[in-house]
Amino acid sequence: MESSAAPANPLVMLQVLFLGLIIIFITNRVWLFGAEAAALTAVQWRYHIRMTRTEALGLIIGPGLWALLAYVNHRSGDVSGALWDGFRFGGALWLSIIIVHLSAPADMIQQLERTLKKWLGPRTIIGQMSLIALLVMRYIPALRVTAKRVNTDVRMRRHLAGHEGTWKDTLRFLTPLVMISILRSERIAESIWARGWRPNIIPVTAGWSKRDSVITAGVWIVFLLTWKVLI
Amino acid sequence: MNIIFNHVVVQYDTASSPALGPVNMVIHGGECVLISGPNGGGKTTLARVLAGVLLPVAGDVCLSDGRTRREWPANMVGWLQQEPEHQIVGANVAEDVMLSSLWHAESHREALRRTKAALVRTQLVRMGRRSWESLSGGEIHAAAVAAIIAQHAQILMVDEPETMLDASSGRRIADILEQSKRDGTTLIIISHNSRWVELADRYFWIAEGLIRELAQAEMQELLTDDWQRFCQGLTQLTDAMEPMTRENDLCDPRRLGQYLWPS
Amino acid sequence: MAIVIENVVLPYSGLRIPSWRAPDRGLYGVVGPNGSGKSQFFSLLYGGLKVPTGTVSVTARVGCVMQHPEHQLTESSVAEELLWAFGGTKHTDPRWRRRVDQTVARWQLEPIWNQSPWTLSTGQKRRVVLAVYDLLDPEVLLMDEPTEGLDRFWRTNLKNWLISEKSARLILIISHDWTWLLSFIETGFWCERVLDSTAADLGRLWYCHNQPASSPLEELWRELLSRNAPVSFRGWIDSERALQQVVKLWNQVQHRQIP
Repeated sequence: MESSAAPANPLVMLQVLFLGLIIIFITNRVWLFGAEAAALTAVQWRYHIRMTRTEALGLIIGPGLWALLAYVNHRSGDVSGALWDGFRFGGALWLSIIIVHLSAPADMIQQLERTLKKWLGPRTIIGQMSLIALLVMRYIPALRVTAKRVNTDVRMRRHLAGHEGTWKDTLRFLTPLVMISILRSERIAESIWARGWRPNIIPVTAGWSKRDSVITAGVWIVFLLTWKVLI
Repeated sequence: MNIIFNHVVVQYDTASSPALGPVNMVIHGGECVLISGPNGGGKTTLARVLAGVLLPVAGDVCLSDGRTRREWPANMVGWLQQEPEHQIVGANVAEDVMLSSLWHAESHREALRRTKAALVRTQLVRMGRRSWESLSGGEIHAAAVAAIIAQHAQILMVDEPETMLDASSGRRIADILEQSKRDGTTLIIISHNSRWVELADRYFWIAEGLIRELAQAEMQELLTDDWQRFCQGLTQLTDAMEPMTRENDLCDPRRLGQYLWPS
Repeated sequence: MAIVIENVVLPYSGLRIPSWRAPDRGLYGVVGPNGSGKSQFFSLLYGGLKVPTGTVSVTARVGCVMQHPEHQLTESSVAEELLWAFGGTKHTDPRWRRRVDQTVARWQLEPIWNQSPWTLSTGQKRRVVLAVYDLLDPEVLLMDEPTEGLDRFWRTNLKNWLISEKSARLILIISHDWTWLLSFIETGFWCERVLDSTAADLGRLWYCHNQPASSPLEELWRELLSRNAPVSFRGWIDSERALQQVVKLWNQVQHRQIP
């Protein structure tokens, strides 16, 4: 299970993600970036994280695109500056992928929800936000599958009818997508209700250990130091 | 804990007659009830009322301690829907199975334990990390059942559990249901299939929104017309098969087979 | 050969297809346990799935009635749903008109002709998709669980239509409804880890693979077959046939016992 493999409490991971992103983005020394990359490599090696093909591809293409955009947008065409931007973006992506591998996003959201509810009282709004997050996670892949099937079907039918497609064909998937979304969101909302979701319920989350406190303190110290030195 | 249907009526806005009811019945705690009837007769409407996602226009469903449907514990009823792909929410199997226990278990450790146990019982441990997109119809079915097991529902309601399943996946679902019954879960099976007759203790037939209780033999006859016809055919051929029909229990296919072709 | 597949391994299910050539025409079942990759095999045939290794050559005109009719309904009325693929050119041709009328009558779409497909029941939706592919007249027709949502009347109708189409095209059917399949289909391809390259007798496939029985009659037949009784593999699919075979069997036993 995801959460049992995580090295720390999901809330710690969320903070590491948040602060780590800021650290990487404000990095302006090559040696520091090198150190960050080494740390990421070490974590990846320590926890046996294997990226999927899509992730690895995104890690190469994303920073490339970012660098290209930086280059195009820069008035005087600063190549090294663009490359630097690309590298930092790559670092941020890398960190995000590692964190998501170590701790499921759902766990982090649940933990955040619980913590917030502890402070704010059992308000319904956060429960609803977590529901929306759950739905989005389930929805986007489902809709992609539907759109793909509908498009395949449209192509198949045009081919069988021996008729050249029209520009409208590319939009035909919209109707089923909207209709299925409406039907599905109703059904999923119903089934979540039947499975015991209520707006005021606080989900249980992994316990907070001493190690979690140590890691949290460490991340904040590194963050404050970087902030102090660099800005 | 008994479930008491007290004059429950469901009516949709556009219809002139009620989709369900009035329904008056009592389902006893720990009992297994088989509900059948023609398509559009009100089976799924009844399931939706029990699941708490549809409120009756009149009457209520209560527990024997008097709690009305709104006051039941949130995880009281586990509902396996006809198309289980709509009840999968998590990004991968383990995450989805764990969902309900995150809301209702006492601790995170307990939620993890429940999830593990549910995956073991449905033989899905190896698939824990698989995303739901990569699952086949039968596997989605099993994952939905695992989620209900982890939910620790006291009432388990399954709507046509055997559709689109091959024989061994169907057998797996049947085993899980039998185990739940032994564990004291109240079981409500909605199906056309005669395989559940043996497991069930009581039988109900819903047609045109009205429900009536049947005897086991009646239900058996309504569901397994083919087997029934075959057995009746056998008994009518008494001149040729007299010794067989006299000596044998016709209801047991195994023994009948042994008798017909002793080897 | 209009469809040839060589050395393909499908993702997720891990189904291997060492060599599969489509027969020219006829009715075939595609049977196997859940999750063995049957639907994926269909996606491969209709171009919805690309594989990195092996060769897939499809030159036939392929149509598919998918498991969920919701993925095949895009228009705001049943009429448009049936006709949009053809464009506006054919509408004046009287022969074409007759074909459309026949299809509408066969699937009884008249009463729902102007309704939105999204207001229909599952069975009605499936009939609309069946009618769409009936009209499109593919050389290879794939059907994934076509009886799901259909009542007994429409199962029989679908069966009769399929029998009448037997010599016109190749039809492959995925279904878990053995009694329905066995009542009119001779042979099928078994799909479990490896897709069989040759079609085998469907009755034999039922007996060799599908272990737990779903009805008492099926259980009786397994018992008889496992005792090598001379009954046919399909004897159990309806009570009348079963009764005839059991009477014959009984008479044989009686004669055997007379010294």
